[in-house]
Amino acid sequence: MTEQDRTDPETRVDLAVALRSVRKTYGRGNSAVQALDGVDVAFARRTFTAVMGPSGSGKSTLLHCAAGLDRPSAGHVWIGETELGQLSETELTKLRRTRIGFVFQSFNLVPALNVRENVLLPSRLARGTVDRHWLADVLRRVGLEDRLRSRPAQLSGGQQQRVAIARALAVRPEVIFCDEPTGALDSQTAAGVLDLLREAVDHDGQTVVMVTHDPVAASYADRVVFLADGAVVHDTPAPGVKAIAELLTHLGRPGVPSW
Amino acid sequence: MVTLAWRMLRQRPTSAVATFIALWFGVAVVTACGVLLESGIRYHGEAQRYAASSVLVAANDLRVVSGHGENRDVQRLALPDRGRLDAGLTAQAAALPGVQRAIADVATPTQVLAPTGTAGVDAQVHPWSAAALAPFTLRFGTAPTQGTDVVLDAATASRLNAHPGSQVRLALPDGVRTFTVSGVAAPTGAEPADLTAFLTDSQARAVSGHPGSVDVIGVIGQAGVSTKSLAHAVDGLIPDPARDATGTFPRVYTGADRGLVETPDVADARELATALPSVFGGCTILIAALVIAGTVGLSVQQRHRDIALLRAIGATPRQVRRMVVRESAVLGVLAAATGVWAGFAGVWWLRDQFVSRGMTPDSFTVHVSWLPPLVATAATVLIAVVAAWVASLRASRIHPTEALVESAVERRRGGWLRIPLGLAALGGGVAEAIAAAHLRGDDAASLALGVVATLVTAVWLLAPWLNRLVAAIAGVALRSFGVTGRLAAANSAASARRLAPVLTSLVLAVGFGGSMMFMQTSIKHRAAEQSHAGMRADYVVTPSGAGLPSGVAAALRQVPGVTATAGVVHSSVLDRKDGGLQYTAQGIDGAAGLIDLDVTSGRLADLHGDTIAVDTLTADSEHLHVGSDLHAWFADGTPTVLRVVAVYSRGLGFASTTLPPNVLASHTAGLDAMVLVSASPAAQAGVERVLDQLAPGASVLSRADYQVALDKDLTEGAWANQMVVSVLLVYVAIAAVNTLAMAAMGRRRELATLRLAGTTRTQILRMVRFEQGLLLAVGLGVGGVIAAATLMPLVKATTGTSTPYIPLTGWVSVIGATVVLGSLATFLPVRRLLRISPVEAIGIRE
Repeated sequence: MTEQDRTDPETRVDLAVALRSVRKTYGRGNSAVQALDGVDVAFARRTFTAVMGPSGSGKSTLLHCAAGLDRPSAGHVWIGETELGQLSETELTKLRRTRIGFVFQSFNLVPALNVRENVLLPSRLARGTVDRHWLADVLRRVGLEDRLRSRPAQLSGGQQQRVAIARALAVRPEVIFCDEPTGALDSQTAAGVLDLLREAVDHDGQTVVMVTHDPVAASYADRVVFLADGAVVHDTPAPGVKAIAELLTHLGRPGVPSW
Repeated sequence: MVTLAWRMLRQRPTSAVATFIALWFGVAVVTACGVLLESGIRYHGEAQRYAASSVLVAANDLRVVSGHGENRDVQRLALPDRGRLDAGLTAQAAALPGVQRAIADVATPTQVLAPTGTAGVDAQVHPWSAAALAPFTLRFGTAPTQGTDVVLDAATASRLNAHPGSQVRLALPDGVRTFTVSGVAAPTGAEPADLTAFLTDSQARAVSGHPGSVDVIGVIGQAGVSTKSLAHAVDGLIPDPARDATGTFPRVYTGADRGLVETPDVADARELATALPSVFGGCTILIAALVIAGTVGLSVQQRHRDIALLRAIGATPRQVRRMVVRESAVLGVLAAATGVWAGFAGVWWLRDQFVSRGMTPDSFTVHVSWLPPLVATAATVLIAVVAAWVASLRASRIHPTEALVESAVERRRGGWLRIPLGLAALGGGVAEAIAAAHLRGDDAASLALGVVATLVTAVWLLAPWLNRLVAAIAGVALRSFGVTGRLAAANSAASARRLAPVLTSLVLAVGFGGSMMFMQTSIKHRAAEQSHAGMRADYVVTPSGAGLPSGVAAALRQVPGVTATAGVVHSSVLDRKDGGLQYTAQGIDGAAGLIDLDVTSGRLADLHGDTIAVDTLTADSEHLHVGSDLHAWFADGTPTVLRVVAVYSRGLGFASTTLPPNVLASHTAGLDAMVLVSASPAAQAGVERVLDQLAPGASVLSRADYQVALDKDLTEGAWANQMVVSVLLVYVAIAAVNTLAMAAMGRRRELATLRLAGTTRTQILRMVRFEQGLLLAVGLGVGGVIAAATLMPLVKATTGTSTPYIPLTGWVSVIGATVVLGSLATFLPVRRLLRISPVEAIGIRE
């Protein structure tokens, strides 16, 4: 499959997310910053993709645009068959809570709610019914069945991130976006979180798109997309930790030609 | 969503508590206003003296008819003094079919005294025939038959230890006379509020000073005749033209309205109870709206990140709006459920104060109904919901990605609509202030509240830009204070919008407090100053009861060492042109030289017959000058045309108008409010001997003592206004403390970040001190400008000069309270935040 095939809406039968010619500019005039400069990328279903790149390369912006958290200045974004640009703010929100799951670096749980309530929040907001078996399964898998009544503040960082993953999985979304999910965790705890994401893809057929700095985290993915200066500069299937680290070093050094 | 809203509220107790307090106080004050208003409207006094008479005729109010046809408007004003009825009406009423008896009553204030000494009891003289209207029946002895007989009511008799055969003295308008107690009577029902001394009918009329007219006619119907048909028949006696004209005319009273006739004080009490809420009610709601809008807005602003997170997880803008609005509604209902009780308790307390200060009769009761609390609850919840809805519009525009960035940076300065609206409010406030300068007393005062509210609204709308401007200017100075000064300057500039509600509440407290407090001090000061400058008498004789008999002044002049005396009658004059606007009036012989009114044109010596002298404020507002005619009513409703013979400047210290004493006295009970005496100290013993004879219990005050007593009177007279202003002041102060504390608690993350970056506790406190100093300075400055813009026209309208009088204690209390409360409200929360470890503060519990 060529790059063109992947992003063609007519042929992307098995794509969970597709971006075409996506640009994003912040600010105006002299102070304008081009965060994304014509990005074409697609993510197939049942895959685990890591998005990498140096700071300021536009990876977070790419994630926000792909997830419908932010609107691109130009270009198109699809989640499944739905083009996001045509949706109103409310339709976009409804799509987010039923078809997209999020895991953020800073956990972002509602501090007032306990574990169970946090996990159920998106379905509650959508006034949807909850599949109790699925919920029980998810909570068992993240290993928090006995902490259901705890508040986020009573949990460790790793536990909080597991709650966030459970929250993302609970609605059975089409795609889970993760923004530095292991950024605030030690390596051992991080490994547990990444195993959970890997398992979601292998076991449940989930699609995961993860922005990360960490070559080790990226090595859990099936495919790694590298960004620099708002454009995709490299796209490779599971290159391994060492190769990723090397690629990153080259990308981070200005003046070095990229592939 | 309600549970979610509730949980999130519990997570941020500071803002929930602050909003709750603002709402609670608003409900309490609005409820109190409503309950007081309703109690005033429903207050009729009680028919005790006239309990047995189903229909009463009296002329107690002034009917003012204005306009014609569709625009015709009829207003009834309570007369300051009782109107009189033609005595002939009694016989006509008695002759009506169905009437058993028609009895004329005349009331004359008196003091009943023991045969010797000065201990006396205030009472009213009534004719013995009127005893049947209660009815009073004899307990001991017989009815009065001779001119020197008196029947006392049981309470008076027991207080003076009098019984049939004892001698008592009665201080009457024409002097003190000795009477023999012929009997002791008691009413079959409740005791009337005033004690009673019954004389024979002819004697009672003679001592009243107006033997040809009566005060009240009581009609007792035959058995089986309904009150309605009786009232209708009596009404038929009142001449036809009287039904449609402006003036004071006999009117028929039945049922609860009879209380109005029995106790003329009822009308004053009603006026007080309805005027207070009318003047302050609107202003209270405005203040509540500003306070609640500020607090709710701030509480939404502080949950920026929480809301952004909910948006990211999938809450629609509508869901966010609903959550915010519902949360406010829940708080509003909770606040209302508890606040209304505080409102009731407040009115009960106020009622006791009114009664103990003699401002209302003891029969004034608090009327509790469901209406005022319902209106207060509805108004407050509505304000809370509207405020929350406006705030939620902003909240629902919060972008979900804002949850993901590390620090919540202020993005916009404010909608551009704020500028034109703010400028419009500013212009409106200035226009109102200019208009207020051309109004008279009360009208100016009510407009002044509008000036404060409009200007504060302007500040609220323009605050983001104002804060930036000030931060830019002050930043230059702050930067010279090293790193903490620089940080403070940067924070002040960056949080221009966040601080808008904080600045608004500060400005509201300073502007409102400054203008209302110093309004009172200015009037009081001007009045005392004028009285001090104008009083020429060495001694002032004041009565212990209702007044001094008119013979006192003449008798005192005969005392060796006394060079001049003048009796002063106090009453009022109502302007016919200005819908019955009431001016204070004094009757004094202007030629006696015992007061100096500082005449600017004309001569007080020309005060003879139907003439009047007016103060400059009245002259200016009514366009009067020497030679013009004032169409007016006397306090008893008699119409008159008075020629203006002089204009003087010291109206505030004495009275707005001055008339010949005999002219004014003939329309009042005929007693002097005080007698001014010019004498050498050696005359004092002689003066006291005369007073023991003519006016037992009267006090002789030196000029200095009189000024002290006047000061106390002025303070007491302004008590009700002062009290309401204090309550509102407490409200705005609480609001200011609330918003300051909320703003401080909302800086948890920011302060934690600074500490993680290496700023020490001391440095942070120093930085906060700089910011706080700047904020308080702006609050005091802008609030001060607003107070001045309100005070100057107001003081001009009420005192004639536009320089407000602000005592040193006033400056100290306003500035001191602002600085102390403002600092406590900021530093206590900040110190608490600094006790939490920064790593924890920046974490999840934010």
